[in-house]
Amino acid sequence: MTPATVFTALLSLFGYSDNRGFLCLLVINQSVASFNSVYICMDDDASIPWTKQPDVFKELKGRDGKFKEFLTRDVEALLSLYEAAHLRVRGEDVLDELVAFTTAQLESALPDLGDALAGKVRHALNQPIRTGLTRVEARSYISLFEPKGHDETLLLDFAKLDFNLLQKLHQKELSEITRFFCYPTIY
Amino acid sequence: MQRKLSFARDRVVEGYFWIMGVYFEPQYELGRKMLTKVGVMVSLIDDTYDAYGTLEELALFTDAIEKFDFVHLEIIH
Repeated sequence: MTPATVFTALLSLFGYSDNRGFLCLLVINQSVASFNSVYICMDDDASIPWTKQPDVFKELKGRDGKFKEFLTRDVEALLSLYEAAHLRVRGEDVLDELVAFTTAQLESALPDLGDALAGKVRHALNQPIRTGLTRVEARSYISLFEPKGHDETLLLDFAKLDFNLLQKLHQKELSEITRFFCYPTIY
Repeated sequence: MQRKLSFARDRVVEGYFWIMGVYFEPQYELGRKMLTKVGVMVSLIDDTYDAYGTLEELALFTDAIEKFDFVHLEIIH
């Protein structure tokens, strides 16, 4: 499984996106791996907040100030990059541009895609994971996700288990809250 | 609640779903419960103002809320 797939799968299927920097790192490392330029090391820089390292994203651009061409080669990776770029915070101008860039690239790639991938891309363009309701997005991604190989099938099984277990917990909580408002005197 | 306060919105499930969009992780059970209850309480009071009380009643109600003190909690218990 490639890091990009892991990123999309973890973010989309489970929605646990607390570690923003780590997720960006996974995708960007994946993207620049072909250039042999892993330019940031987690261990060295773990103490520095991700937001204090705006320059790392500049690696995505060439000398001419345009985004590097290889980023657009793989639509799955492009989609991961698009979702990752939405995790931006104020002041990360490169990521603002990256959102615009990946959006345009995905839109232009859309007509040539197969049904399954086109479905994912269309959904992502309409509703990035970052701005959606996490569990609603997770549920829709479970239907869109097509496992390739044993690892991803296992991941999908875990995602389904996770969704169902948490949904059960939510239902239990809701029943307790409803009971609280129906029979407040027993509390 | 609906029997005694039929004028108010009955939107507990919607309220819970809203809060679930904020915290969905299993460990935030208490946060979800409290925020949902607060949301229901607020909408209940809002509806009391908008759809139930007369002006005089609401002036008294506002007065009661403003005077609310934790000392009174002791008396209720």
